[in-house]
Amino acid sequence: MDAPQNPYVLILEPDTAACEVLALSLHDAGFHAEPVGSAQSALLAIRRRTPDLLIVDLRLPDAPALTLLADLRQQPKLADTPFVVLTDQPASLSIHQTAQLRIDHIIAKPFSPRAVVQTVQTLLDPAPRLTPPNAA
Amino acid sequence: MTANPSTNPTPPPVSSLSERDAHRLRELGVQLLRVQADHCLHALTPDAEAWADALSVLTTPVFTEPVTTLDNGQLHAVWLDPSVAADDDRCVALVRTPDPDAAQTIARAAAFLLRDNDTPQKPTVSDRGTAPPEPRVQSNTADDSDLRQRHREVTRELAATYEELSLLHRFAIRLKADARPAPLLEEATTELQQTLQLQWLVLHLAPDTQDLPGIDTPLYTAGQAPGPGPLKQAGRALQKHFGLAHQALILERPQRVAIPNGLLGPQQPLVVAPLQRDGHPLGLLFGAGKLDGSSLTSIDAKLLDALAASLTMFLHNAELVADARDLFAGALHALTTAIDAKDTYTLGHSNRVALLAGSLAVAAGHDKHAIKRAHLSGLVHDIGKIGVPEAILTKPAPLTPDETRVVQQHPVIGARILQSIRPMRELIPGVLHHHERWDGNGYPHRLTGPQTPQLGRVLALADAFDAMCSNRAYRRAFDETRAREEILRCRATQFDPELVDAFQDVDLAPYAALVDQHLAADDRAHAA
Repeated sequence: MDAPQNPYVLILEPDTAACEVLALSLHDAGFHAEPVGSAQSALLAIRRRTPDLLIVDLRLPDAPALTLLADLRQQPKLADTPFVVLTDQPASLSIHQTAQLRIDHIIAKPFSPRAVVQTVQTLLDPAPRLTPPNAA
Repeated sequence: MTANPSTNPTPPPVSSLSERDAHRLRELGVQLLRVQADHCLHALTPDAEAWADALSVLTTPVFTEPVTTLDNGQLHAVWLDPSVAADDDRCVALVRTPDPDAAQTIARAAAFLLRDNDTPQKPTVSDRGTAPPEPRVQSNTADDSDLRQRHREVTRELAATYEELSLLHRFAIRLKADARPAPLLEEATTELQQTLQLQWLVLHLAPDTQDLPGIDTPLYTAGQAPGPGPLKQAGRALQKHFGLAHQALILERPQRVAIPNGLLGPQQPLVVAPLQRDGHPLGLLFGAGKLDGSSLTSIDAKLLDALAASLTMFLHNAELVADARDLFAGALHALTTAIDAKDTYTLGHSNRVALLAGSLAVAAGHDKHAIKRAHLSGLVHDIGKIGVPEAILTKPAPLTPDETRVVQQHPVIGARILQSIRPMRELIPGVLHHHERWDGNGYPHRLTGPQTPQLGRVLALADAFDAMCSNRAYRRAFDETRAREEILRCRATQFDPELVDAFQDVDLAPYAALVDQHLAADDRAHAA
């Protein structure tokens, strides 16, 4: 089982099968993955625990995904959280939107679970620091 | 009775309702929701934090409409996603109505609707513990764990299917009939090796397939593959044994089929997938060793099979395309040879006009497709001469008016011949109109200026220039300088003025080389 200190990945994907596949693949890779099916549930989950990374499908039943992402970016605790977007039409996202929402990665559907896990691992891998944290 | 959750979040009793009551409540709830309401909150949970969460979520401006709602657009009776409630042992219904009693009733109806939705009911919803225990809550722990285990297995199988779908999708969008084979085969092999996480993977092509245009090697490798020598040897051995198999196989003892020593570790299995179509072997995929040290599974074999089927289709199509191109080139060659055989004075004329027309189209800034069409219609522009008597074509004197009329039919005859060959139909405007003039004094249709299709105007200039530079039955050739002057002189009378201007930029060196080549061939023919 995943320990509470494992990186917490929130998956917002209304397609239950895809959501479960992602959750289990990430769980197997050592993440604490939580699958949710609606923007509403995602917001509730985020209130309970701030995710280390967010995976969001662009088609949501209850809210326009880009508006939701813009709203989440406004929250100080999510200002630097990596956002990964799942979409079956990657070309529909403009460079402007991607930059403005600071979307870290776009994954085209049908996705490869293995590729998603690799993406999450890369994004959560601590980047090398320019200066050592304890430099006097 | 109060309905303010901040002061009294006590849940309403729902436990003693019969089926009939539940039905009536549901109807009532829906009716109440049609009533104009202000606001009133009611909770089915004593959890104040859950209320705060619910409120914060529902007041987030991103929602275009409440998620789960009984309302008519005016009122908001919302309950949160049951899956969230189930996880967190709480169940929330949020109702906006001016009447506290109505809120209470609606909340009960909502609770029942939730129950109908097969959501496990929470003890907090019951009337202070007097409710009968829910069967789901009491369910056997062992069963639950079995179910969870089964759920995981199914999800893992599903994940493998997603991998397969994703791989095939990525590959399919690259699979176009005109995709260049070598890069595509290389990418497919690499992609599959990475998806399957194999130490190495090889695509070995059968001899017939290696000869396809655009294929530069019989061996495409990915990962830490051994050297090409042993791989080719292994490929041939595997081809012999499994080339016509119908599906991928995992060979636990590959040494039995004459795999060269050192290619595989001791007791390392090999996975093989044949590429074959109707008993015609095209090649095979084979690979070994999972990067994480795990064993090869039927899922690996299945994925390999899926891609092998796509590759088979691609290679088969590449064969068909190559055949069609050969056939087209052969037909073109046969047609130009037929024209040259008919009129020896114009030996090589078709090739020279093709060269000039292509160069002129380039100089005039035409697009790639138009340049290709100019070249090809140059090759066949005189095909209609097949229908003109040889005596007229080679007559060493000016033609009579009747004879002229016969000769002037050759563009029409040519267009008719090409009409029956579909890929050549787009060349017809060049063939039919290469004797039209800018001033309208040409034939067969006496078109003026831009009425003549662009291809026809290009061909007209190229054809006239080569005719001037060639010995004809009735006169000696001009030299190139004089021919150029003649073209300029006929600007906007015989030829499209813009094309005449563009023609000044055409480098005639390749043309002169071709003329020399044809003259030499001609001399040889006469000497023989």
